[in-house]
Amino acid sequence: MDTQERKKQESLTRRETMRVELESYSHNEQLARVVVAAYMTRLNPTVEETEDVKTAVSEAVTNAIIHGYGESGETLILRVSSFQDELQVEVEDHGVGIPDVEQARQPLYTTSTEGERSGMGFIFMETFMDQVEVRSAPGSGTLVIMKKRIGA
Amino acid sequence: MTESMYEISYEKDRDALIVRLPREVDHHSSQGLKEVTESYAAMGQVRCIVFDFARTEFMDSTGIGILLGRYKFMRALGGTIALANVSGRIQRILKIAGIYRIIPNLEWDTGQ
Repeated sequence: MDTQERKKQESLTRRETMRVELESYSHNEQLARVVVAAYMTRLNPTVEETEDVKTAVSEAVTNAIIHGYGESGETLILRVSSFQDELQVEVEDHGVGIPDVEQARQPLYTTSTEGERSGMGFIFMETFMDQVEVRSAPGSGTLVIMKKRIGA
Repeated sequence: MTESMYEISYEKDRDALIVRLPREVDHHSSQGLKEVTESYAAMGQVRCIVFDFARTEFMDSTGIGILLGRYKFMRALGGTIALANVSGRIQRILKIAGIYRIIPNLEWDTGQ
């Protein structure tokens, strides 16, 4: 295998990871979407794929900011990686956590009392991504792992 | 690109309140919408809130919560809400959430 061929093979099998720390303020919801959209250009996505991922990221980051931390300016972590044609986005907070993940993922479920949250955040993540995994424990925080094949 | 693309603007037109949504509708950009629409309703005759999506390119589930919340609010006052200038991406979001089953996509001349 010549050098060029080896480099090509390496680039196809390497997992590159970007890690971004954001303060849990609501204006960072937009920043999180933009950062993930910029990362995924390397996968040559369609406009619709980019919009789908931006929507899912917005849901996960908004949950972390509102529910995880209560907009208190603590650190949430956005980890974005790709392997071949698969994009993986992780949103991690060390906030209050979710006591019952199954219940939280139900359509229309919300802990918001002011009646202005739709309770559709997880439904949107599941609709726009191929796979959504939620790991959470009360008092230690929540990790959402989302995957989507681009150009599939 | 002007500052106003990121902000909501409100305009009273006869018995309608037109709410021009920003370029990106999320939890951050929609703060204050509930309170402002309520104060317009308290001040005078508002029979319909028209949500104008002409500038809107992005919306997450926050937008769904807003529409459902304002729909319930207006229904309690004997009024309703309507949607105007909805583009492809936003239409897809609204369809997934089942919004069209309860709210008409009104063609409304918003003067733009």
